[in-house]
Amino acid sequence: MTVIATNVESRDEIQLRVADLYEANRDGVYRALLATGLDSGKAQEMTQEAFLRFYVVLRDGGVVEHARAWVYRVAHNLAVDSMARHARETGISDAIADTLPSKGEGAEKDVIEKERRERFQAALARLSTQQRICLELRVQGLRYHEIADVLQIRSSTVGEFLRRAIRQLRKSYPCERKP
Amino acid sequence: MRTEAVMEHPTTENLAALLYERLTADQAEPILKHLDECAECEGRLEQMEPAFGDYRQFRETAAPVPVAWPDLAPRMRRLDSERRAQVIPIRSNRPAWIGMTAAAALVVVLLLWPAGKGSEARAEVLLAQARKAPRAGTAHKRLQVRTATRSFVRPAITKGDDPVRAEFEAAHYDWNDPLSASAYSDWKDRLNKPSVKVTEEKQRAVIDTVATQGLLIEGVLTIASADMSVMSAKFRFADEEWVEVTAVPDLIGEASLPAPAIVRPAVQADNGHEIPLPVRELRVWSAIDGLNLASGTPISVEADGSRIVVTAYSLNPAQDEELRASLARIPNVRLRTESLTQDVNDTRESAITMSEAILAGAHFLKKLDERFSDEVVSSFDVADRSDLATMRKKHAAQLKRDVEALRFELAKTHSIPGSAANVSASSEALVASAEVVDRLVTSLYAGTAGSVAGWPQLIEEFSRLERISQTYVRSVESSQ
Repeated sequence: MTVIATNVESRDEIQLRVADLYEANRDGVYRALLATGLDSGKAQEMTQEAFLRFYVVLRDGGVVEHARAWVYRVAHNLAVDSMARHARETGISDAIADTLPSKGEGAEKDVIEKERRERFQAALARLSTQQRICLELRVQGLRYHEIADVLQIRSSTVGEFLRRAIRQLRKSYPCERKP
Repeated sequence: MRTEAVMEHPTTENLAALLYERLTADQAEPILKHLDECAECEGRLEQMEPAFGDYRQFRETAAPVPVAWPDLAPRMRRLDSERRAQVIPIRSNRPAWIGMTAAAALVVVLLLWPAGKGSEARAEVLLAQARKAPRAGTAHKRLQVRTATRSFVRPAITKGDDPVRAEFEAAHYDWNDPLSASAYSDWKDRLNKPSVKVTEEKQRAVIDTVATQGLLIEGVLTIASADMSVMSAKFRFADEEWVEVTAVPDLIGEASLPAPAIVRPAVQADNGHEIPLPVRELRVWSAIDGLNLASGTPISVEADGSRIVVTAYSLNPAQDEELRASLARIPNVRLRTESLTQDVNDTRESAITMSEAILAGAHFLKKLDERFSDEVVSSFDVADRSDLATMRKKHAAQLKRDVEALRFELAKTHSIPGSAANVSASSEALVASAEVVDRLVTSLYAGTAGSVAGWPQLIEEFSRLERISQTYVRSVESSQ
């Protein structure tokens, strides 16, 4: 059980608490939403929405035991609902593609690095949404059980998604980097 | 609270072996368990894996976070002011008797109001009727449960664990039997001043209850007007989770086509010949049969006038493509596909799944007998007759294997007597016996509330089912 009824903080205290959580976690939530396939504008909007919902729950007398996981989960649910309503929007791979250096940037080293990035990007694009989210959340430092809580899946499934994601990304490496 | 693992930290060599999948499952298991508890080793492992570092570096440069985030404080204050505007305090200096008179008048109005006009009252009436409605066969039915992120199938009544049970238990909603009017009423009755809306159409009534507090903030129950059975329910939680529960559509073999008719509307085929509905239906079933889906895979085949609507769930892309190609050759057939992921790990190997497969197979064979009577078949050409016979034999053989599998499962814990005696068997008897077995298996394996079923009863009924199925299968095998 995540939320239980209680009422111990004043409204100002709650606002401060939410503001602190927002400051500490908004970038992470935003990146997790990018991984679901939302574009940057939508991801930013939904990040704020998730924290506002957290505020409303606290204001109305609820207590959230695992605040960070709760916000991630609500943000993820908002994203899933949004994706269900609308056609798939620009995914992280597209967002990344937008920022890739343009062609013709001179030095051979840049070309090799660019090719490597493109291979990595292509491998990233081949990951399933769930694999991408697991990877993103894991890189953010969430433990397997916390990721499982966000995605409402088993910890073992998180492990499996991560293993598959890593296997896929390894394929983008040149032979000398492969084990 | 989680505790740190007591196992010693794995060596770097072991972590590398795990990383590059050089360990057997038995060797990997204790290390994986340790990793789930030990952040330090998890970090060590990921430092060894270049993909993590590369991903981290890649996203830092390629997908930067916003430079400036808006302050949330004004929006939080706005939310507060909106809420205050909604809650207008009722303060009155009117004499108390005015309020009492008004209350009395209201009571009179409510009493005189014809039944069904007030949503709350109407909801009570509908729920009372639904509670009294017979729920025959519910015990062996299954429910499809959908959330924003997953979809799975479970028995209609069970105490078994599933991914959303905790959420419903926390909200004090009876998840053992979620698609029952009683569960809904119990939840609704505990709410403090809920908002209730009833929408009635010709075929269904929808009760939408919105709670003002609690974890479960909305429950929508849809009741069939014809028999007052609960068709579906949708729940919304405070954390924006939602859960939708519906009875699983027809299993293979439970097609809900109308009663067979010899004289049927016909459609014009591309080649100019009319193809009667029974022939098209047979071809639809042949096409489905050709996919070799697992027993019990939900597929519904329904008639919509002269059109046949096929709804398939969870087909893989190859199956989907194959089915579409096959159905494209049959006039006036529409295929709908929907996603339905069954939690294979939980149920695939269980006795419950086996008995469900048997029941599905029995239903299918019975449906073939009903739909394609001798009279109907007499109008088929040789090829269609052969298709029908092949399909019947194939499913009879599968049923035989499913019964053997269940025998093997039951024999792990109980002695099952042999089944030498012959019985007179029909597909009707087969379904009846399979239903009893499935109910008993579900009851014993899933721990259905209030069950009085016992193992001796199951063993006895299973032996009977085994005899019936053997006799039936023999008759199918020996038929033309």
